[in-house]
Amino acid sequence: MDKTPISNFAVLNDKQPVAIAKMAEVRLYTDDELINLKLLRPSTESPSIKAFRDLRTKLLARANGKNFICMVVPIASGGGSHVAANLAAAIALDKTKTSLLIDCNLHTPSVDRLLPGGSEIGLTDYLDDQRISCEDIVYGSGVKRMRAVPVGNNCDGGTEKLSSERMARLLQELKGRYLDRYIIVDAPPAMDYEADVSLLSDICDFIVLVVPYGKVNETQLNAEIQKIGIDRLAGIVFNEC
Amino acid sequence: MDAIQYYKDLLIATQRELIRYRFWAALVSTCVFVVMLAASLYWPERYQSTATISMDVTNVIEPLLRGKAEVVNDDARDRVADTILTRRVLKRAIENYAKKHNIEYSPADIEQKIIEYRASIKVETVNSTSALTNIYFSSSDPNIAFDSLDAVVNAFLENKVNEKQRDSLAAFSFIDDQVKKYKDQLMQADKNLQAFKADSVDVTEEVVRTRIGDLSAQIKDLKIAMEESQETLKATQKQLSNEQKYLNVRTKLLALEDRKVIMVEELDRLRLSYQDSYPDVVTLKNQLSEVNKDIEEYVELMGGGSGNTSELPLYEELRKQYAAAELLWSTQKRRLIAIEKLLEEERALADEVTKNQTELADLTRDYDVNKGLYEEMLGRKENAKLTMALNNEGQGENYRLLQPPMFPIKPSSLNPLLILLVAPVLSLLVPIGLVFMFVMLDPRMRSLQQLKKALPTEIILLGVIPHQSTPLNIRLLRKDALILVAWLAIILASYGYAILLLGF
Repeated sequence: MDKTPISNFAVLNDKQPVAIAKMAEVRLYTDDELINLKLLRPSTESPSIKAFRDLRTKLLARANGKNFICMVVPIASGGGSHVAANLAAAIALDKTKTSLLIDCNLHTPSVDRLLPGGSEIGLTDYLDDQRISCEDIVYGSGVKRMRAVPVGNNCDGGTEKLSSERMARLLQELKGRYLDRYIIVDAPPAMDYEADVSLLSDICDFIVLVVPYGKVNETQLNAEIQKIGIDRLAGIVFNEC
Repeated sequence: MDAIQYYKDLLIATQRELIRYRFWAALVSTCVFVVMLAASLYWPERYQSTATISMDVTNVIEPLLRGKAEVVNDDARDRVADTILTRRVLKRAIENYAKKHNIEYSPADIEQKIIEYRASIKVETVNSTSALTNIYFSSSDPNIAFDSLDAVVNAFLENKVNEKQRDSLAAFSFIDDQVKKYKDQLMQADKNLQAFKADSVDVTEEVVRTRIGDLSAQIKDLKIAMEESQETLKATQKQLSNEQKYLNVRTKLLALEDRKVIMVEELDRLRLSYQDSYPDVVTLKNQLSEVNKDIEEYVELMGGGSGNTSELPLYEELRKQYAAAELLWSTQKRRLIAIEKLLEEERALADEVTKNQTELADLTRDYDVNKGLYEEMLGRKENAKLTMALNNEGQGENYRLLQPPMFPIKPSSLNPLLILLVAPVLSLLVPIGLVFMFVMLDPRMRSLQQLKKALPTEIILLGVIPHQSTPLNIRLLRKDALILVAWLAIILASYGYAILLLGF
């Protein structure tokens, strides 16, 4: 299995935006694999794909066509990563756009399963080691035009790592490199990891709050909305999964 | 519309939670099923014997005697239950039962049996207007149920007859005692009244008041007369005082005149022996001159009247008047004291008369009250006599055994088959109901409606991500479904076995 980051053979050798058509891809997932991973299948029309397309459209409208860094935060554990991955996949459905899913859920990482080629290093390795460049941690996913950054191997002291300057620079660099790249940050549950969410929200353009089915009451929802702040909150997604 | 959507969401949520907690639901369902299965297998059979007692309160004499004789009927229907459950009746019933079956019960056994009987007996009035009372006796043995109820009903009827006669007699005796008591009281009151009338003074309040009035008038007159006497005394005393001064001057004048005579005689004697120039003569002349001068002064004081005029008769007259006035005053004073004493006595008499009248009124009232009560008691005594006679002749309230105890052929308790039939339904409904209740009471959001309601207006709802199954999930569900089917098969086998055990 080829565990080479996609950036090694993608056109990332200079700081200029490059054409999407020139980006190399890893092996794409088959429909069965996508079903198993609960990822969107471009070939079928399902309620899920419709829901994520609507979500994508609303977020793009909010960003006025510019690329963005969107953090997907579940209030409680349950479906946050699913929404983040599928939102990234929905953006990548559009042939003129690419998406990058960054796994910032250091406590229950989930992006590794989306990498058909696997991964050796990830976000935490990058944040720990100055010698690692951002190209080294971006991997091709099994979904066309969708990239992913896994958590990596060193999750200890995750909160401190996420609060580092290097983390902020990484996001800006990833966003600035491709104008048609949309970055989705998969954040840990807000009620359990308040500090992580608070740190990440400062370096993201806006936030999508995921309300998992049967896990959050009205008080908790309002408390989280208050914490995040209305300005940075793009909206709420109710996840029935 | 909202309500429909709310219940639709609740049902969907219930379904999802049931799938989520499928094994717990299956466990609860199994527990309920097993409990009901056990209940149906070990459900105790109860046989109930029934008897009906009719209470006959109508009789031909009652209308004729309405208001004259009291027919005991104070909601007697309600008292049937109370009477049957009394210790006396139950003990009698247990003794009858023991006698019939040749059983020897110790006192402790009887106590235990009384408790058991109380738990087994149920008394029920058919309806509020009916005179019928049903009595039920439940037991696991139909023979015991039948015989026990028979003993209880007989003991009740026997007790009722005795009780009625005893009550009537007791009531009559009580009233008779009361009549005697009131008669004694009345006689005592009469005696007291007569004694008082004999002892009390035969003077009316009016007479005493007239006497007091007369005496008061006399005192008033006497006081006026006394005032007059006082004035007379004062005036006489004043006149006497003036007369006293005159008498003094006159006495002194007379003394001076006597002295002058002596001195003139002495002068004449001295002149016989001596010249006028003799010193003694001169001195005597001077003294005589002085005496004359004094005499002239006193004469002047007496108003120039002759010194020889005697005034004694006036003085004496005044003295007499004064003495008479003083005597009158003294008499009046004594009379006043006497009249005042009489007045006091009359007043005391008046108080006594008032007191006597109050006492007389009390005694009369006492007498009247006792008389009234005595007469009323006499009337009641007659009523009690009639009531006793009615009860002795079987009139008034009667209890009749309308339907003797019936031998219970079939058990009266809940049919175990019914429990068995209900078991699968209930075992399915209980977990569903529990989950439904949980979903309904749990405040956590399970529907879009709930979320929309909870969201602040300025927050946008971006979308709803529908439930999505993976083949793995489906496989797991299928596996679980197979397990549950196997589970269900075991349960159904138990169910079939239970039906076989119950003989169907």
